[in-house]
Amino acid sequence: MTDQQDHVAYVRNGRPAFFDDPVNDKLLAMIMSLLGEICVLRERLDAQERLAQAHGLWAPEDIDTYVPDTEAQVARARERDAVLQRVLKVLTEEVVRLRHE
Amino acid sequence: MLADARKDRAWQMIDLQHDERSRQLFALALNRYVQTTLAEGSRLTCERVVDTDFIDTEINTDASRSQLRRRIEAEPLHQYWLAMMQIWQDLLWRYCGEVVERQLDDLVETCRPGPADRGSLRLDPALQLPTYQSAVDNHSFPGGYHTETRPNDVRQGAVYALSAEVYLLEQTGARHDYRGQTLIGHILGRFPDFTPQRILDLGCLCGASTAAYCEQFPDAEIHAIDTSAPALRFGHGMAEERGLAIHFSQQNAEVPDFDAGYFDLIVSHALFHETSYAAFPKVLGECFRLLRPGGITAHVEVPARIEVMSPWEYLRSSYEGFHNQEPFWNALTSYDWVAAADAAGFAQAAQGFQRTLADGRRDADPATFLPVGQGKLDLSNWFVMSAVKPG
Repeated sequence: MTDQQDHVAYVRNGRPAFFDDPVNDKLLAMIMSLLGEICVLRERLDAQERLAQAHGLWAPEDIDTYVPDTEAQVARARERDAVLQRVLKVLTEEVVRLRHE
Repeated sequence: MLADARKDRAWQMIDLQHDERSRQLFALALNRYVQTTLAEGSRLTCERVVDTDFIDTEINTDASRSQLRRRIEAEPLHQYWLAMMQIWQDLLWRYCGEVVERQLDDLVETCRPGPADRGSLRLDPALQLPTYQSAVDNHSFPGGYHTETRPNDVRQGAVYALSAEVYLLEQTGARHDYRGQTLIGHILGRFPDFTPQRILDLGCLCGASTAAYCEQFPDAEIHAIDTSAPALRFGHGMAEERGLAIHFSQQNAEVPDFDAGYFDLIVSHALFHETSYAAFPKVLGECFRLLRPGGITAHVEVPARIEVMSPWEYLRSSYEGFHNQEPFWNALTSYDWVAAADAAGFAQAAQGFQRTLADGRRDADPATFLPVGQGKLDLSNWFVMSAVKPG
């Protein structure tokens, strides 16, 4: 991350904490971010299943027995890292802010 | 509606892929939950505390308000509401940031000024930001309006424009122009025959409200200023995509460089709450200087007035000032705009709540402009002030 990009990766003056223990503010943010990812994932799965069935390709049962190949595993690892970054960003943000303030 | 669109509503400039749209919709759903269910929990908590702990339920002095705020902020449900207000908004900034970064190369290229432009873009890299802009990230928007991540950057403008629909709960119209339309409706309600030839919009950001003036006054020469280069670049790009002739320039509204008496109409849309106590009269003074005699100035602001707030509504509103990096928000809720306009030399100054209008010309009606005491603290109306330069 370049220095310029850092400046859109944290909010100046830091974020307020509202709970008696500020740890809880961060935890709640992470839970909400996770909830968002779950909603996104469900919608994507829904799109897959509807498209597949509409094209006569496969039904939800076929997924239960599917084993990913190496390429798929690499792609999944990349996607997993991106999700982690998104969910854990409240912690990353604090680190980035400390670099500058 | 977000769900129907292959592209977002920032004038079809920003592409939204499947998961990105899902994230926008989640942010919208979370925003709705926080603003309704959780807000109700916070309100009920507040009402109970006022009932049991406060003899003076009017909560009409600074001391009693601050006592109430300290007391309520110890309540867990209110703490959840506060924390979630910050969280949904932050998720939205992040989601929009990701969308914009994926296509930033293309956006920068599309927004670059060209010889066929109908409007123009004039930037001032030497512009000194006023402290009220340089010291905070308004709306806790990471990086604020001004950060540039690359040459000719539009990132912060595009993120802001993309966020608007979710941020305002889809209550400002498909083109986010209801504030412009509402103010035009107010002006035409008060002055039905007014036909401005030269219009200036102060603090225009990406020009969403400015565009309403292009639509309703198609023969006018329209200028728009802001301090944010990324917002102006993106605004210029969007205006050109829509075929609108807007002359954008990077200027501080306290010291604009136009000639005295040049404009017939000077407007702003939710500008003043992001300025300061000291800047307010200076900006109004510049409106006076830049208007011709008989010219009109009109300003729309967030519908937050202390006169009509219940104790909880005060907490809801003051959250923006205390916790969301809007340092002038709270002082502005009791500011006397008419007195400021009178002091600047204006005549016929009036302030009040203007009902939100979708089409400022079609819907103009003086009966939709209500006294301050009849306003509501939601987006069904906006606070407005208008005045005339005598001459």
